[in-house]
Amino acid sequence: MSKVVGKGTELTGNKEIRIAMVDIDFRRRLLETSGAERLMLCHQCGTCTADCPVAKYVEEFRPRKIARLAVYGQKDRLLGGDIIWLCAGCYTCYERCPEQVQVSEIVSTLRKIALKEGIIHPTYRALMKNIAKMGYIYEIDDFENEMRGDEGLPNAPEPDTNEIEAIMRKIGFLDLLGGH
Amino acid sequence: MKPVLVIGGGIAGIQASLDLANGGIKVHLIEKTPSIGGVMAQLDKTFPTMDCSICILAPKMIECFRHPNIILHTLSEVVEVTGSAGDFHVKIIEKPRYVDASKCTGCGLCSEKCPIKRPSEFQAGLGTRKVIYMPFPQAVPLVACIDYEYCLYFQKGVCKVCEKFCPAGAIDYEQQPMEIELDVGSIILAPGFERFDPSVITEYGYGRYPNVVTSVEFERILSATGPYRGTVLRPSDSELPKKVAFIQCVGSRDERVNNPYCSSVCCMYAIKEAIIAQEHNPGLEPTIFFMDVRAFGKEFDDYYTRAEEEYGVRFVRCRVSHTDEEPYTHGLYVTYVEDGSVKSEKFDMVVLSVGMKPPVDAEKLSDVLGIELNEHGFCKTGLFTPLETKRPGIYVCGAFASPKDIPDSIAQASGAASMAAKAISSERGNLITSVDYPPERSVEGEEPRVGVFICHCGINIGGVLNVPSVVEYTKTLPSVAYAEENLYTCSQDTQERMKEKILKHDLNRVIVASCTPRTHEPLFRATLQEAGLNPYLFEMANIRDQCSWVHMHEPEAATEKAKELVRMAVAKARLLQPLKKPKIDVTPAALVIGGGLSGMTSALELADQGFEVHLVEKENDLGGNLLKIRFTLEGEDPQEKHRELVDRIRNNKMINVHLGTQVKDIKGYIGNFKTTLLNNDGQDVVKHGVVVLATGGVEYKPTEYLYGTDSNVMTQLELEEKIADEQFKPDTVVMIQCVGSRCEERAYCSRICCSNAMKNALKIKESNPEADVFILYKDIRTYGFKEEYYREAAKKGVVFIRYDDDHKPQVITNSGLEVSVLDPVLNENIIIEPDALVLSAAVLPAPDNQVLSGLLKVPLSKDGFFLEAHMKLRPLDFATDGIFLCGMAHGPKSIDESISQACGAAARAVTILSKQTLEIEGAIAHVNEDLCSGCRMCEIVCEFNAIEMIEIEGEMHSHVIEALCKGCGVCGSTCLSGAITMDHFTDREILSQVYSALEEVQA
Repeated sequence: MSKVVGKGTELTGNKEIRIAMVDIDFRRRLLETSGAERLMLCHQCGTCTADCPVAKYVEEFRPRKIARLAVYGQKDRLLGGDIIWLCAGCYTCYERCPEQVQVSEIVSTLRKIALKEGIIHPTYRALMKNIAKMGYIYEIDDFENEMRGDEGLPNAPEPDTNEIEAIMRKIGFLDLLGGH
Repeated sequence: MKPVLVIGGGIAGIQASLDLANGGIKVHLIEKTPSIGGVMAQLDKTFPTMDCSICILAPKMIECFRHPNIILHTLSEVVEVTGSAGDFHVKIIEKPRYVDASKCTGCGLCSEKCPIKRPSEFQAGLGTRKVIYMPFPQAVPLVACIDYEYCLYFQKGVCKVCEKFCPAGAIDYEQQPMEIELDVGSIILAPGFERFDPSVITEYGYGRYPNVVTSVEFERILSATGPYRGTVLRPSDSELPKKVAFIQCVGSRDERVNNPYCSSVCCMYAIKEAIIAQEHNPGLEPTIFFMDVRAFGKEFDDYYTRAEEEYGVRFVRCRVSHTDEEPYTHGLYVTYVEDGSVKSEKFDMVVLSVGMKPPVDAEKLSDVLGIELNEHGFCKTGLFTPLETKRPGIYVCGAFASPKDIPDSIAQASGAASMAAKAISSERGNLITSVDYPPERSVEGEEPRVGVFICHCGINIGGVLNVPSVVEYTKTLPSVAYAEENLYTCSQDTQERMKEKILKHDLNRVIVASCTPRTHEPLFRATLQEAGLNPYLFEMANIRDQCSWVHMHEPEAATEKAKELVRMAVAKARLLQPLKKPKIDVTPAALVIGGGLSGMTSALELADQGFEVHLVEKENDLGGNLLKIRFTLEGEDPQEKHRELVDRIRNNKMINVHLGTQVKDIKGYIGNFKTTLLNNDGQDVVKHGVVVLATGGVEYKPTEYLYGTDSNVMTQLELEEKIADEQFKPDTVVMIQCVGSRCEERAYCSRICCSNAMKNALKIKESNPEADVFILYKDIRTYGFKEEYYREAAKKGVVFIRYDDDHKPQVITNSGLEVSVLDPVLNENIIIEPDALVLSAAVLPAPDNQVLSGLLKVPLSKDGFFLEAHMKLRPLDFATDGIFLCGMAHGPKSIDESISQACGAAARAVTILSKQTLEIEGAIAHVNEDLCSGCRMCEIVCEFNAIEMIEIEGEMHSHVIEALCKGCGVCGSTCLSGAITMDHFTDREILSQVYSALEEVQA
């Protein structure tokens, strides 16, 4: 089985974490966000990581390390690079965790913080641009609609792209994507 | 004239009943199943002594059954309790057995003939029983009962096979439930616990995959009387498993299933099961998957280390995420993380270490008895009232109060007995029935007629030796008038049978060839007494410990050896003489050494039960370590408790407080001690019947981590004082656990430091929520409900970082302190610059232990704490009679545990103090003064101070203090003049055994 390697800042590699330099506000922001409140309860039992389908293929993706770095307030290492964007959102970790730490929610929270800081992964950026442009993450053409027809489904609805764009502009998302 | 009601017939209920009954109080013991014994009866062996569990429990069960002061009600439940403390009125429903207990002999023929099988509760569902059954071979009472719901006769009106075959005519289909009404003074709750059902944690596959079993099922698999007769086999195909995985914390420390607490016992039983599995199946490879190893009890860490280093048990720190079954082979893939890699490893079998839940009928009990339950459904108690329910007069002990192991349950059971007795102590002795043995038959002048009973001990002996051939051989020996084999000679029906045979065959000497006299001699001796024989006309041949166990791979040679052992026993038995047990008076007063929490509690318990107490404290104030404890996790005020205890002691006329006093000398023996106390004003001599050691412990003064050189480095107790003075508001605090514990010099865990760290961390967070607190630990050992404080500390933002012996934290000081520790998951150094570094320093044994150990001739453990008589069953006793221990003298422990033990030690002491005279051992040394030269060699060698020199007609001769003599015989073998005879082990008796052993060699 081939291994996928995440690019950018890796979760490991630094030799030390100096607590005096830690971004405590970052951890506080995380803890105040719904879904991430139980972060500090993680006692590193590893069960989330053992069952994570992404961890199976991506060596750098270790849910418990994400939790640990979050505890140490390692904002730059978490928000830079691919890591937080690799989570498939399957919620297996959420189900397994004996302390109900909800690691998948912590990852979502990290993504939200990243977005607010103007950080977005290129893949997500491309997908979001598609939504703004077409209302879908990919183009729906005749071929897709034909297939839908075979299943007895009507054509995909034509989205009101103006409205989508207006919403995205209003919530500041369009700026984040670097204009249009 | 009120007795005590004890609810629950497990080990805790049994111990509480026995302590009360032996203290002169009548007991009604209620058990809802057909037999007493509880979960302990199901266990294979108990660690660390590796005793066969049922073998050490059965004598206690039988003692309960035989005890004239205990009335046993099985298949019974309490349905109503009215009245109040000291005056309860209780209604009990006793369900019908459909078998007349007075007629049933426990022969088992009914079960053999019954056509319907049901899963056996005793075998944890891995075996079957019949619808008419006895739960297990050693059941007490050994009376069959019918499972109404599945009985063909009751359900369909047909069958009645049991009635047809019962030789005793004991079957009675007409029995009806009986309502019994009792007036009792106090009630003790000991209903135990329920096992967690792991099928709700679906990812482990229990119930779907046949080779995933629970730890209780695995105990039965390990047991010689289990489904596979002691060999570990896979349930799917009865093949020998090679790799066995143990998964810890199944239904413990798990918020998902609403069991957030730690079950306290699973780590140790998993280690024990892993070791035994390996012993039963050589080559078996056990792996234990854990989150923290909680080996917090006395010498538990030694056991854990031995498992890893000597037995090669593999430990993996990870919570297993799930198991998958391989189709067809039923092998199991266990998924976990190790060294950062996700692994899926194949095992042949998986054992789920299931946690403890409150008993199923906890809520019903709470309703009927009017007691409160805590948020987890266990009985609600308090830190300073660990044995009291919320309803006065009703006490609790064992796992129902919180998950706990056997020794802690026993200590609590004795403690609850003390509490229950207090309320009615004025009635002591009013209701009791003394044991009336039939008059002793003289055997003088009779030719020896030896009866020999040879035990199979299930398969412990019978599985190796050819027992019938030993019986046949025995019948050929001189003077043997009768010989037979028994499945369990110790079972209650066999005792009855032995009595019959003694009378029928006119036996005047009896031999049991079985396990060991260590556990079973008293039982058989009592049986002889019941048959009118002197108890010393009994001899044991040890054909289990010294034969079938050690020669299990050589059955034929072992059978020959058993024959020789029996032959030797017969040779000796022919010469046995009846002996008299001397009686000694008891001084009804106690000496309690140590005036800390344990000592004060124990003294009050004894005084409240009407006994005089001398409470000795070397400092000028009572309180000990309690004075240094400024606040508690539970929020209760230790200083208020201290004031209350001191007031109660001051106002109690029965307690003589000796402050600033040391014990200079202790002379005497059980019932009759004479102690010289030394204080500033001089000496004082006190007389007492028992001693309670409550010497406490002290905090280790660290040499590690700059302690003593940097003023910002302190111990937890020092931190506590600073916090209490409210002058201390640190921003960043690092705590290092296991300083001086779990290290090379001190292998043991100090048990209280993890909880103490939580307490102080929470206190710091309380006064300054912004403070950064880091706790560096090896394993967090917040066992039981203390887990909630671990969780609370984490919630409040305390960061926990694990370290191991190869990566201890580094502490340096430049402009300030700098602590560096390797985070094992990130594999990166974490560098913290704290204002305060707090060391969780070890609990050390009290420095006086050494001296007292010498004065009292009682042993210390290798760690310097006092060593009790038996680590499992006698946690508060010493091997030397009349001396007891409690609190930190026994080992590190928390406030509530110390109180439980202190009350327990009092109850144990009362079993002696409540008697005016004591009967002591009859097999002791005697000096023939005509032969004694007065050389004093015997006095020097005696370990028990049992020999004194007396003057007879102007000459010095040695003399044996009968009450102190343990009958060890060392004086006899040392005596150059042949002046000392050891009763029951006379030269003639011993030599006859030697000649008998050499018989075939000579021939």
